[in-house]
Amino acid sequence: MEPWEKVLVDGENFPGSIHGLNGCIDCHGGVQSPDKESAHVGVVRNPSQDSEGICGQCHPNIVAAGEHSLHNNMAGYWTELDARSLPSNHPELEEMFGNHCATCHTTCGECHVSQPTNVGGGFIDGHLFNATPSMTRNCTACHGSRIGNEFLGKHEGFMADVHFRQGQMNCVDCHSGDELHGEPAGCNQCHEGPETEQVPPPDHRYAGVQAPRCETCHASVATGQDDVIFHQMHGSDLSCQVCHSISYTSCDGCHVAISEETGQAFFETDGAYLTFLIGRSPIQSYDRPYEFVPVRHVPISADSFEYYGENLLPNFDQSETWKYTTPHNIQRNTPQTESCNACHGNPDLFLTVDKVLPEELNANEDVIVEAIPLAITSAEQIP
Amino acid sequence: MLRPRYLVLLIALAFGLVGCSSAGAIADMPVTAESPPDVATAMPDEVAEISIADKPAPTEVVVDYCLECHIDKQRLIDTAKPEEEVIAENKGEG
Repeated sequence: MEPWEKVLVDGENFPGSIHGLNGCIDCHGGVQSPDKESAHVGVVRNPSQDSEGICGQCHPNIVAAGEHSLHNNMAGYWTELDARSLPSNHPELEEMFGNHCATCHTTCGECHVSQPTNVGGGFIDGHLFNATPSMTRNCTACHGSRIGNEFLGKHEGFMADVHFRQGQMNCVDCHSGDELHGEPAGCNQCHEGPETEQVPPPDHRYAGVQAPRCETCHASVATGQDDVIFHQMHGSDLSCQVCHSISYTSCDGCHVAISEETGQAFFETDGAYLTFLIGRSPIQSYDRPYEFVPVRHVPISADSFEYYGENLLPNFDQSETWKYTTPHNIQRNTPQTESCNACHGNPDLFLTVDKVLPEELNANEDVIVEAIPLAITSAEQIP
Repeated sequence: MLRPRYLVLLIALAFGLVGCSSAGAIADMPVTAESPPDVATAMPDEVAEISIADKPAPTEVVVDYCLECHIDKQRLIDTAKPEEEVIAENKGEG
């Protein structure tokens, strides 16, 4: 966006809107003055950084729940950092986090008013407040290299997710405002009592109750009442994506540093490539009972943060590098759905030991598939 | 249909009422027209002072300088700070 585009207010519609009825200074500070420099003294460009003081005046419940929003508290990052490090490493990791990871922190305005700051900011709609964020200018502006590219079909040779391509659905059709605001799976819509408070806040994206879940719309799959034998046989053994996802992006080794020339923070990944690999679920639970799931390599290595200190991840092996993943490139028909033996007896589809870097074998011991399912050679093998 | 004699009585009554209402008005009207007033003498010698407090307060126009600038595309272009080119040093997928 051009500089003027980023700050051009819709003079026709914004002043009379509910948020426009507030004076500019009420949220942004600054001074009423015809002189630009004087007017911008003390101005706050992103007032929703103080969500409690600004947005919370009218939206107290949403702001209160936002404490548990992963977009707000970045808890998922620290879950991983804590798992791989020691408390004594925290000062260096906090510095690293502030320089490189914290830019993903999202304020209210960065979903409902502007593009995220880490992609340049700027009003989406002339300062009008959009209840529904823009899929391309908000959601996939940040979630672009993996989710966005997969969902929108930007990988050459691979179709867009059927929910987008045919369903014309966007992010919020599955990922509700309650979820993004930190409400525990919208539980309080039915459970208004104290039991809602017993649901622990998520500390990573796949924590707690599975939401969204495919079965919400595809209920017949969950009950085994459709005519698809794969659904009846595999039930909850496999996550839906095992059969219905196609190749997705994996990344290797991200290293971060501050440029000596410009003073800017930057990152450098060792590589990105398309994969489709089935691994054993490292987070098998009541909410996610699957034994096998697609896994994606995440951009982390033991020396990712060496710019900030030596051996900052001494417990690197305590968390896998091939992660449980839910690729957003769902298709009805995939190579896996062609036949039973598309997977059974096919080592190419499974995360076997030969596909894991030697220095990461220990980290991925819970994910590696040591014995792939046998090929189906007779009908007797089918229960 | 009213009987003819009642109709005649009704008409007569109507005429009588009309006559009563206009008789006084006619009697009140002067027969001769009065001369027009002298404009020069009609003006007071001194203009009475009008208290400002008696005047209705003018509507105060509040200027929102923030909006005045930020809804004006050309003004934003003209006053924009020159943008420094930022060369991204990131390598690979973010």
